[in-house]
Amino acid sequence: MSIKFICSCGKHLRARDEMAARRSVCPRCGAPVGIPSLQPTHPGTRAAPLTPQERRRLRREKPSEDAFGVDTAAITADLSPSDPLSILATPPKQTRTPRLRRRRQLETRWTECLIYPFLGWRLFLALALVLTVLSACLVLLIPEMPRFLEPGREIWLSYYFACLSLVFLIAAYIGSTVECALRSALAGEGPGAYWPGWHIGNVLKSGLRWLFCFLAGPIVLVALAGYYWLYGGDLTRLDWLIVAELGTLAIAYWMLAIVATNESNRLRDANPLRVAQLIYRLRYRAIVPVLVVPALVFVHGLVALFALAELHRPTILGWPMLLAFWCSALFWATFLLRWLGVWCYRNPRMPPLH
Amino acid sequence: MKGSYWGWYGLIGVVVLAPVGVRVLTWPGFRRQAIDPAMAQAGQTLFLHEWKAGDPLSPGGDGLGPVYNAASCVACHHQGGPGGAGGLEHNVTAFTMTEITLDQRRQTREGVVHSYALGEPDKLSQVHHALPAVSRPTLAMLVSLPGSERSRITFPSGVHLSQRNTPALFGANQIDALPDRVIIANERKQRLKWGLASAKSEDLPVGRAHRLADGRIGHFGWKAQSASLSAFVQAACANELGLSNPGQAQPRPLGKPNTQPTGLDLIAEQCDQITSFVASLPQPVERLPDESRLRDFVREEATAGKRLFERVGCADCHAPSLGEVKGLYSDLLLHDMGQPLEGGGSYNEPPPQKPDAPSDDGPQPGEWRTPPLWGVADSAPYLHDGRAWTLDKAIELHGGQAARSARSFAGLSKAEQAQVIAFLKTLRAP
Repeated sequence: MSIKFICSCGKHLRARDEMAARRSVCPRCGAPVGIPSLQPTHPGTRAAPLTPQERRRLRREKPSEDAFGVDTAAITADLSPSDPLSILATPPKQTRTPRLRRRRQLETRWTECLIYPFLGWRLFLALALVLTVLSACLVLLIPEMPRFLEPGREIWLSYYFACLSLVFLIAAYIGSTVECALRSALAGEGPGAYWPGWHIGNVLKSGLRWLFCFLAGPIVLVALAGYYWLYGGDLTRLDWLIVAELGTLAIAYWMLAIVATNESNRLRDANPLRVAQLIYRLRYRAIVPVLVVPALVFVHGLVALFALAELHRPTILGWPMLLAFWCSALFWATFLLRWLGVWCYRNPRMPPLH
Repeated sequence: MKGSYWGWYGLIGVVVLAPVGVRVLTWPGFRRQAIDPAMAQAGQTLFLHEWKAGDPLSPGGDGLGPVYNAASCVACHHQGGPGGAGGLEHNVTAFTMTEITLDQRRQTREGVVHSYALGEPDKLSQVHHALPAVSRPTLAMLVSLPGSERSRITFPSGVHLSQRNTPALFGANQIDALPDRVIIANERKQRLKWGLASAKSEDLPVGRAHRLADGRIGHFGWKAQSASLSAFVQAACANELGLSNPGQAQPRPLGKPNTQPTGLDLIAEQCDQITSFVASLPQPVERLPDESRLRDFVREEATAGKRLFERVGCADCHAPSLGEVKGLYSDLLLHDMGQPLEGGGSYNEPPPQKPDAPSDDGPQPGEWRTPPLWGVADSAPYLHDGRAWTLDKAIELHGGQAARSARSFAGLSKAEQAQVIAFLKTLRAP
């Protein structure tokens, strides 16, 4: 059993268990390195699954791979317990040098996170197309719903249930795909085209996590905002301000709850205390989830409403608008979650003091 | 240092919660008008009073006329008691004339061709020279009625004539008390229900509230042109009886457009008295026939009919309840009823619109406010001009946004159709 870790110069290192929580020197750069403790400071996060292309490439190259997709074949150093300061570098035991997969470093600046959504552009475009067709079909089919009532309530209910399940599955897949950006960042993985693949279990788990985080608080605020919008009459500026406040709180809470539960891998962290802690940790950066994200949601919501209303008219304007809306929404969701994930990885949560 | 942070948190909390606090304190509720029995009694006298020129009850003005459609309120509102609906004989003829001016602007003139006058009565030819010199045109002259032998008048380009049947006033106080926000909520629910379709939809029952120039929502009138019962009463007094009042001046004869009114025929207190009387009229009821041997049978038929009424989509517009008003069977929204039911025109000039409203914000010729169905059994004939003598015929003539429901009704078996009609016949005047 050994402790695997990476030096700041990128060198993959390995140390024996007895060396845990001690200091040593990196054989490549000569800088002092801290060997990680065996007691993790926080539970850690499961990384996003690899893309099929990555899996195929890894299988071809046959590297040893741990559960998190970390390439251990490149580890070259073994730290001796007898002499902590001497580093005995051992050559890798392999007959041929594999063509190592080029792994990007985790982003250090927020601007680098902008690239992330473009790495999986094919996937995002496909999802946007699916979402466009789905949302358009839903809106256009709603007026035809009474026809389905005619044959009998049972048939209508089963139809309704099937539609709802399909919508949930697709929404869960979208949530899962977007969440991959967050989870891979929380696991310290550099940018890549992470996606949930065909693991339906993971997709459902992700969908349920999004649903749970919504039910754990934002639903109350959204219901209040919806009721107020519906029964508030012609809304004045004051009324719009109230609706915007409720919507802002709901969206910010939802997003932060998603980050909190993913960071700790515990659903019970979707609580106001953890959300407040996250805001406290983010400090001035909290303006992004608290103000920027709701503003983006409002702008996108307006575009979506306009596009959906346009679908009922005999023009094709609604379709490209809807596609643009979904593309933009997926881009911003992925980028912002990636950015939050990177930040949380680089600024881990402090363990509670005893 | 920590204390100062708490101060900031408190300040943010106050700023965030202040709008909510202000709104809670100013939230409008369901405010039913309290009725003064003495005012209502005096109003009843005025409602039943037969007005004449130089009437002693209007010392400041000229009394009845110069043009009018009836000599008393009750002459038109009489079915099922004072305040009820009226027959075809008291239909009001309204006209719309659109002209293109020399500078290529559309100019619309609207008004009423009154049935009676103290001098020479209004004639259609005074609206447009190409129309016949007919006073008191009948409905058959304006619309093509099935079975009618008389041919319809051909309207010149830009001219449209239509009639309005007398609506019942029962339960008007309930409608008056409805906050605007309830009607707007219904408007939004319909949009959501029909997949965000717009109110301009030609086949989906998505209505719209009529927003007047002062921002209020129209509650009364076939085009939802009056926001309150008081405004509705004042407009009717002026236009149907020729009684000038603080709310509206009396109309001028079409042949003498420069006639100047002499003064107020009704003072504000008299208008309030009539309004109080109308507000005191009870709400229509759902009532089974009195014959005991028929009661059980009709109850079963009506109960089944009520379910069918909702199933075929009638209840989309004729909503059984609106806010706290139960049994109204209306959403009080304007719905496009299609080309055959078009009817422009309004009292005098077009109603003022909001300054920032688009040019087509006012009620369109095909748009009508969903009439409340409470008391419908005692309010024949039906539709805005009374062209349908039976409820079956009225449903059949529904077009535009109501065509879908009319088709669904037509698709029912004869027995099921009879059940729907049986249900509608339980909606009686009080």
